[in-house]
Amino acid sequence: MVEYRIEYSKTGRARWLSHLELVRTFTRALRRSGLPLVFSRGFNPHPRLSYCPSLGVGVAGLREYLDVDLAAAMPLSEGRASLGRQLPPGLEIGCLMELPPEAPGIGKTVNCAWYRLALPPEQTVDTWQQAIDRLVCGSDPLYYKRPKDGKLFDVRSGLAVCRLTEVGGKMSSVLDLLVDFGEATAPLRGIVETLLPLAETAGSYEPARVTRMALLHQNGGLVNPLGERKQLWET
Amino acid sequence: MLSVIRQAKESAGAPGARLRARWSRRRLLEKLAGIPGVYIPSFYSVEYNKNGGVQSFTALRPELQSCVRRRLAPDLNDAFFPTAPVVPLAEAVHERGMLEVFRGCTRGCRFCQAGMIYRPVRERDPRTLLRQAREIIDKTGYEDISLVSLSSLDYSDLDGLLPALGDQCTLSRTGISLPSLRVDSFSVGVAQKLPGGRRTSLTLAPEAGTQRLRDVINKGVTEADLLEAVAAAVAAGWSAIKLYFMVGLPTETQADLEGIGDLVRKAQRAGRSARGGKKLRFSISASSFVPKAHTPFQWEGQLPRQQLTESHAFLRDLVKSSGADYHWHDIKTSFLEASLARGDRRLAEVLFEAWRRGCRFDGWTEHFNFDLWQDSFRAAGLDPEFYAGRRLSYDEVLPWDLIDVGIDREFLVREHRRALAGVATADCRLGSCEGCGVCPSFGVEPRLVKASR
Repeated sequence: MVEYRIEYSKTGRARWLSHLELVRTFTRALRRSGLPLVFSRGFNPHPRLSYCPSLGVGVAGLREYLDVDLAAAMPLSEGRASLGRQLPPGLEIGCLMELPPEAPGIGKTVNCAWYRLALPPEQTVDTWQQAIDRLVCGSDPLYYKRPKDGKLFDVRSGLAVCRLTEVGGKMSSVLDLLVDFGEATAPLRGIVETLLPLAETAGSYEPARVTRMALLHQNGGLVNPLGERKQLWET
Repeated sequence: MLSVIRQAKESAGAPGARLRARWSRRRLLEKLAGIPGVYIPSFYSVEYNKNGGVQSFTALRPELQSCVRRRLAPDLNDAFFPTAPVVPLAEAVHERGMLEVFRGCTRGCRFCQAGMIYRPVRERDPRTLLRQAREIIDKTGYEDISLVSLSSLDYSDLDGLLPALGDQCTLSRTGISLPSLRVDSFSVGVAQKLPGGRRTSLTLAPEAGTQRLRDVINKGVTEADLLEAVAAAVAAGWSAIKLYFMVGLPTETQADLEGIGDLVRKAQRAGRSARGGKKLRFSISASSFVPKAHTPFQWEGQLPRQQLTESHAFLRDLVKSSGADYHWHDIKTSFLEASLARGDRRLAEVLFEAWRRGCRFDGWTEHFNFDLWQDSFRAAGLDPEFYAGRRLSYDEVLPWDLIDVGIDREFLVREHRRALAGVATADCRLGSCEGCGVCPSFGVEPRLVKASR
């Protein structure tokens, strides 16, 4: 048995697939691809796949990952082509990597994500910068209450670092955020919904303005799931 | 408007290319009318009598036949079947590949329209089916394949098909499922051996509560069949059973409703003793009888809504007192179904009015608005009761007589009379011809892969 890690992007219309739909789409595409899948045992066998933490519906992902077990090794280019042919527009295979035996699964390989948010155009860069400063290093407590269960999150708890970049012309600015994963970490939606009023912007959280740029492991430095060292904000 | 009567693929090839030609609409309809199986409603007029029924049909062009005969594919092995359907990314209702084992169920349930209009039985060869299954698995990636014929386990060469199909599904771990099961222990045994079976709930449809009424509807199922099926289901590991019944069937009496309660209790006992004293979960679903065109029950009316409501309420109390769940189809929906199922052209106006008033997705209870439908009938000057509840006479012209599905009217009359007398009619799979008329009228024969068991 050989384990592979697939890097893919989820953009365009495919960003509107929920995680469950994504799982179904990949499962069926893999079944159609003819790759020698390994199935779980039991009454209801399913292929052995593991995914990284789910993207919110509408959020694009440029470097997402999926681990799959295959019964036999295969040339990477062939596997990439067979699976690529079966995927709908918006889901695209970046690369394929054979994992060494005993390698930790994708779930244990990432502990933070880099999100990029296209800010609504109605405010100046200076206003945004002030709001961001207050969001990151203000002294007043900022909490987000999750609507579905009323759970309270400290908005700053998972927010490792962020960067504001001015985009020229009529385009608005973009905000890069490095957010830790964790039970106690405020969801991205909470961070954004806290930020917008700080900048006196009436808009609400729009998932289509968000792109997950990378999934990373942070432990001193940054390493991506393919084992490559990365600088902060390096693609 | 254009309708191709049945098995469109049989007749569609020829006009398909020409449809793109630059003919006027009129010319196109004229050309299409010349193709057997194509019905152009505007080329026929309908005359009504003073009682509100149909008086006659008139073909408005000299070259047209007096009625439109359906087309059929005599040999399904060469007939088109889609093996690479669109696979939705969002969750859909029927998330499985469909394998049509045969077309045409000849069990002869007298309420069933599909069992009449798709005759005769035509089975596909196991070779064809295995090839189609292979293609469906490869091209869709579906996790399950369903054998979707009306009573798939009637297939004459199950022994030749199922093991080979099972082998073919092993590598891709594709499950095989059956949409419904015949009520007998044999079927349950077969279902148990299919790969990928999730032993959650098994559905059986005895349809009626007494042997008398099951003979009336020609549902060839006995109490013993049901109890054995229940015991077999327990042995095979199912822990819940759904039973389907119909309320308001022709000749139904209070005794038949009470019979459902008895049958449920007996099935519960059979389940409990098979499980060594542990209770088996039963859920009972009941629908209201809707008379359908082209069936022996086409002349029967639907019971008034008030009476159906009382019957369902009675059954609910009866079934719940024995500890089973009871679900029933919304009676207003069934009433609307009945008023459309035996309708005529004038209902087009009702449909238009309903659409204009915003009726959409009426199959969803949260969208169904019965008042709007009643308003629409009123606006069109029609009475839904007239269509749903009226008992028709043998000698009146029926709105659907314009369509010839190949079944002799005399056969339907005979079947209706036998129903009222409680006499069963055999399945022609078993060798005896019951004279429905479809084979001689099309010059075809039932096509079984293996001689009857």
